[in-house]
Amino acid sequence: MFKKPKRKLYALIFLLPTLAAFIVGFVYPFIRGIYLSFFKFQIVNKATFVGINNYIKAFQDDSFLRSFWFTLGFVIVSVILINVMAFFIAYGLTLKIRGSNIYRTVFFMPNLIGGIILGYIWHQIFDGLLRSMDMPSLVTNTDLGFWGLIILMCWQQAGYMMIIYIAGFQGVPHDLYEAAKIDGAKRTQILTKVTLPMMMPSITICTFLTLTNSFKLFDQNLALTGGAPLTDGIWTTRMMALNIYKTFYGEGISAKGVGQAEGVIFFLIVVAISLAQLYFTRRREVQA
Amino acid sequence: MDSSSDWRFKTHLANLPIYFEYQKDKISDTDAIKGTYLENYKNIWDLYITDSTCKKTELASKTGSEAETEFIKGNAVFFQNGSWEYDAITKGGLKDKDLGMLPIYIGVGDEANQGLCTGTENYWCINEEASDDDKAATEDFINWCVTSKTGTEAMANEMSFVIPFKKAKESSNIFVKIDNELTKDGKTPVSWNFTTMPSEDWKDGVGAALTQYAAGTGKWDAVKKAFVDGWKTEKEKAAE
Repeated sequence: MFKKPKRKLYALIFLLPTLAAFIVGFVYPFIRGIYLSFFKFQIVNKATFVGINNYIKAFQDDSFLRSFWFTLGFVIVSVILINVMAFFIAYGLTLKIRGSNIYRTVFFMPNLIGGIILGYIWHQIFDGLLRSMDMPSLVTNTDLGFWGLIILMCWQQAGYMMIIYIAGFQGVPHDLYEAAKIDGAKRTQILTKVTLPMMMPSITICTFLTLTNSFKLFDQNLALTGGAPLTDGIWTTRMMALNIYKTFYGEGISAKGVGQAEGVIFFLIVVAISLAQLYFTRRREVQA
Repeated sequence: MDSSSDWRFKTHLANLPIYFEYQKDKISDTDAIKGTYLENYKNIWDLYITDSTCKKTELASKTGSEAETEFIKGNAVFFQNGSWEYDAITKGGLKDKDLGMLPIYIGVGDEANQGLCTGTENYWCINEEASDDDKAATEDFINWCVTSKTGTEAMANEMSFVIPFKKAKESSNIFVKIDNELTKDGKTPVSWNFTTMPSEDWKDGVGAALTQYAAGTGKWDAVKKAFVDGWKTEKEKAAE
């Protein structure tokens, strides 16, 4: 249709809106954010340079370290639980059960509700339950808060991961199953020797999604426990994102810089862990 | 209690022990609160949470609007709140004749002459970075709000505000009127010292400790700690 150079030009023009949005909405704030983590500031255009002081303060901040361990614990438990649940629900729903489409929809639906609303709804549910057992509210006990968050996240995320796993199950070629059956493989053998290896791409993407989602969790954390309870000056159920937010909007002229530095550290941790995960699960992907 | 309710206790009620401590030490701010009257704070808090509309252990999951509804419906006789609630509760159906106000007595000072808690923690600000024209225009607008007929009427009737300016219209808010009468009778209002509280984090700390104490999962010592130690750490942060 067009001569080559012209086609290139058009491609560029069509790319422009997205590119502009990406630069304005991501690249610029990202670079500016890293830049500001070396400054002390109250408003961004009146910042004074403080070198790596913010980073030193971040590592001296007990609540930051504590929130890291709490988040890590949460990530490990939730990634395992969500993926195991999603995998087996998907497995069950690909066996030809009556009404499996309805089940798929039902399991997927929690994903369509926003995190803040979910947090409040589950807060009410948990507190109602606890009240009927004559136990104090979720926000007064660290363990209850932790498991509350886990249940909430499993309920919300399992359905989404299930869809990805279902697609994975359906993508396994039937001739492989037939061949396995002819060779006399049992059901469990088919699952572990044929299905699982063929499902590795789905497992990679699902662990990646759950890992990063759980690490970056904010809304549900804010609405469900808000970080409470407070024990010895530490908000024990504050995850990293919420803790950074609270540091950033805390008292004192250095609060914003320290919050910014914690944000950069947080970013590095999430990137490092998710790249490592991608590397390890990718290695196990096979070709049929 | 979530943040829709606990501000009444971590800020307004907490102000009483702070106010009396400042009075006794003849200061108006401090880097290290002593917590001289925390025992009185405990007593008034105990009084609040005993025989209230719900069990102590259930308080943690109660919200501000639940408390408001219970008061409007007549399930609760006392409701710790301020003149700003006037609009909400009269819209809810309560009449002026049903309403009254009582100072918060915590067993300190000259209670016979104690008035209501009053003050402000909010300010109208003008941005120093703005152009001179804009600054002047903002000043004019603010003056207009508190002197002109339209401005003061809107502030008094629609927003139910207290307007402490000469030309201002008298507020139709019964609570404001009660406060004016008490002051006329020679009662000394308890001044708000919120602006001297170290930070929002300090308030949140006290609020969480109060909630945990009411639920029975925390001790009163934790409230003391959040109040006194939290004050010191947060003031240090603010001074940086």
